[in-house]
Amino acid sequence: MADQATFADDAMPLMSGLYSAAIRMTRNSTDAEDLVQETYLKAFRAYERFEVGTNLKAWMYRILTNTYINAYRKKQRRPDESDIDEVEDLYLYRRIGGAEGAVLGRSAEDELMELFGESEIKVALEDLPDHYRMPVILADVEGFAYKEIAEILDVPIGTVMSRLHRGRKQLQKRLHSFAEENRLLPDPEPAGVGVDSGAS
Amino acid sequence: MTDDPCADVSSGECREALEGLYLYLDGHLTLERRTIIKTHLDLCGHCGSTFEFEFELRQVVSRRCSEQVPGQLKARIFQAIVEAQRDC
Repeated sequence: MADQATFADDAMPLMSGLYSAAIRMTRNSTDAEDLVQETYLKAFRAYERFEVGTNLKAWMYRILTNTYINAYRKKQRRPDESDIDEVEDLYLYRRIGGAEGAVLGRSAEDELMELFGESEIKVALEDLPDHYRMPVILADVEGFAYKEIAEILDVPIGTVMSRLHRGRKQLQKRLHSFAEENRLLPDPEPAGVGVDSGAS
Repeated sequence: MTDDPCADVSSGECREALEGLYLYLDGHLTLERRTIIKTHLDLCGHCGSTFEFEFELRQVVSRRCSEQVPGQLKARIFQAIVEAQRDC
């Protein structure tokens, strides 16, 4: 059993991840701050029931997620958006793959960082319906494994995998439309001019 | 020309690699399957750049979505824990 006296030392280092996830869940920093504070107080009160040696990080995220679902989600007043369109695999790569590494000497990561500015990725992620957003936040921002996400969200692993898959594809589709709206993508080359005929 | 990023997607190896893409990037493949895909990625430029793109995109998502905790929030939570401890 964990000792409440060590709670601050054990749990405070997890705050930046919890806060990042909380912002993506609540979509605003005021609610995110309240959500994180409530999570810490609930966790403190329950800490004597936490089993030392088990996964503290996953335990904290489970409290965060449940608190969000029970208290904050109701406030959001978003239309019922429980489902999303089917999106083809590799949506973004098929459209911009290759172009992102076009400038010599720059990594694809730098190019993508430039293509999607400070807010686009955050907004695209926040636009996902909860069912898909939560697994994507937990896997791709916080780095949890499928099994941990299944425990945090209390759903079967197969459900985590299918929601992650669909959520990631939807995220790519949103990102692509941002890039198009912002005219960040280079104009497609006119047909027949400078285009490899496919003989390569 | 083909629209498909993988020129030879009909071949078993490419198809198998692409089917395992997320499991591979998520670190959820058996060592055996991981090794098979890794070997294929070293040989197949199309699949290699597809995996690379998805990997980089994920790095960018994670970097762009990491937030700094406001100093006053840390202080507020620490204070709240200290007070809760005192009440115990």
